Amino acid sequence: MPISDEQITRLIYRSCLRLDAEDFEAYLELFAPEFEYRISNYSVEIRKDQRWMDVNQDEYKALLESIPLHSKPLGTFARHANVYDIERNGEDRAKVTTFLTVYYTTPDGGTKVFAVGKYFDEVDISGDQPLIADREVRLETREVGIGSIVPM
Amino acid sequence: MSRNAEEHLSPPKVADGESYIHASVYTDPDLFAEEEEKVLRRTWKFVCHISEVEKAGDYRTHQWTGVPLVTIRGNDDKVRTFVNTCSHRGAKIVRDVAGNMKHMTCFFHMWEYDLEGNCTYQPREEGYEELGPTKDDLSLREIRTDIFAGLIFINFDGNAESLRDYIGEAGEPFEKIFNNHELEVFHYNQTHVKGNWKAWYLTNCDLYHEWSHLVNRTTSVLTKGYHDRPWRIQPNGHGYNAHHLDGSPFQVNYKKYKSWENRDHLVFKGLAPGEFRVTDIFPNLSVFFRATCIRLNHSTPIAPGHCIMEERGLAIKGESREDRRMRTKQFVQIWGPFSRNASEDCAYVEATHACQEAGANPYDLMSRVEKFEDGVHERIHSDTYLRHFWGEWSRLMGRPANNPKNFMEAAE
Amino acid sequence: MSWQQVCTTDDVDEDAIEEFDVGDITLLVANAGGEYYAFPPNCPHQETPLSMGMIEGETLICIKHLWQWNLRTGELGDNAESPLLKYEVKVEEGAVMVNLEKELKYNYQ
Repeated sequence: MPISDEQITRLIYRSCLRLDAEDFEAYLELFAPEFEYRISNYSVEIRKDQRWMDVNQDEYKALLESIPLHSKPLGTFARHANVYDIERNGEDRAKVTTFLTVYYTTPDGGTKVFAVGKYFDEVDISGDQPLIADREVRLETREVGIGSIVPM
Repeated sequence: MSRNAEEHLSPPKVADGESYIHASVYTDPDLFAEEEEKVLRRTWKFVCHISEVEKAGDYRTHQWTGVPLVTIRGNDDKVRTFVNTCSHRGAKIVRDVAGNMKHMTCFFHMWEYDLEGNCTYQPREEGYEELGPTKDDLSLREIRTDIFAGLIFINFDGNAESLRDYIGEAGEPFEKIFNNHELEVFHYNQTHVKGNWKAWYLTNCDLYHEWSHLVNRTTSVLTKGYHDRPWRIQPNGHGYNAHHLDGSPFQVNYKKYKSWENRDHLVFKGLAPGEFRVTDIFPNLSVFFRATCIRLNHSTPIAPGHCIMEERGLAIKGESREDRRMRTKQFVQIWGPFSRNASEDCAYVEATHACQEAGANPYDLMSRVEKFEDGVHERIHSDTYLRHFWGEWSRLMGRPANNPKNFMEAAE
Repeated sequence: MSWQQVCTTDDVDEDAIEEFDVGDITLLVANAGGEYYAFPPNCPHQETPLSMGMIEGETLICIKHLWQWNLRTGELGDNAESPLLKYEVKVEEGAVMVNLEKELKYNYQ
């Protein structure tokens, strides 16, 4: 059975839910082996594209595992995604474009928009389940408060 | 035993009155206003790296002490800074953050200025023939601008000493290395921090706070000789912490942080593998080396409890895509909004400010002296540089940082 | 309980620390250069989980305040202000055996 658009969409949404829940182990199960993850944007200030995170599978896994050892933001993040486009590239790959809004709820309960951007994902659809083979979080927002050690 | 109100509000019990400050230096609006005049407009302030205004017409807008500014490279290749306001009605002339232009045109009445600040065009100019003034009287106000090792600085004070004299030997740890390569900015981010600009800067200078970062605990504090490195205090409020006492480099063990590699490739010429150095230039620029990465960090004060912190990463111009990618990866491991350290630092400054603003913590201690058998106690975890900074601040302000508004006398 | 098999030698990579439950007892097993050591799960200082700690040679390091102990000799290393409690360990045909006659506990204040 070929992977359906619905399965691909559900994959993207699950990645948001699992990251919101900070269930990093379950979140990483949604990625294909050897995946890469980046956070990027265009800096108006230096007039260049730039990367604010660039990690491979092992680095991303270690990064997520070490989060409890760091001074983590005390509030919580909630991701709102809308899959805009799924473009199939042969039978093995799909390019998925997802609009992303990340909200941050402070420890005293107020919520504000943390960042707006898009996920540009390469999804591996060659197996039984779709898996994220490459994710670029392309941010529109360049001022992300004090930042975050938790990725987007 | 906990302390009662009187004990809590009394100056700390330390042997040296210079080893604490009163928290109002971070929160008081009058001191903030006075500081703009006496400190911020009289010292050299870092603006940006020279690669950001590389070609004639390249500009970068910014502000200092609330004054809108534009730094721009002229057709004569000279970098100048102007007050970014039209001589006519005062509208901001250059409204973008950065870009390139042939001339500066005010969008309100279309007056035009050349890259050297001369007013060159007014629509229907003859309307000023009757009463004046002439265009010659309407050029832009220029602010002193100078360059040190590719770093552009400004100074509002026309009588201040030259930039080179101002920095002096504090440039020693970075000038040669910066000049060994053609560098360019590849990383930029700015953050509105709910804290005082000095608190941001001094977090960089307070190396005892390395204990707080998991990265530093595992890769640095555990490293042999970590605690030995002396502070090198320089005139004008500057200082640096670089080599061990015997002149050998301090090499960070990056591999100790899970999944990270040691930094022994792509090291800037003049540094050892893994080498760490930090130079602090008064009033608020910190220049960091982490072997393969250079970070320029400063902030712009907005209000006592608000500053805009900027981070820049420098890389070697023309390096391969692979090298740039690796350098970028390593830079954003520790610095930038999604790094392991920078957002932790922001959180420390904000947590401190929230308490100080409420008057909850009236004093800030800087009495650490780590004793060493050789008698050199000005080491990395001593508050040597903090005391030096506040000494310079007190001198410029004409007020002691431990009692800047005579609180003690007023209370009696 | 006295001597119990807690894990096999393959369960703990070199320079790694793993957590195990045997009955009601939670303990950590560290592999320091092929030698196996077992100790209670938290640091004697502030109950920080030592499972997140580091092994350097024979030294165990707590990640929080960098208290250090020599696992073999039990000697206090840098920063450490109180001793680490250790279980007796022996390796028999790939099985890591620990003497769990009595659960070791710190008197946290």
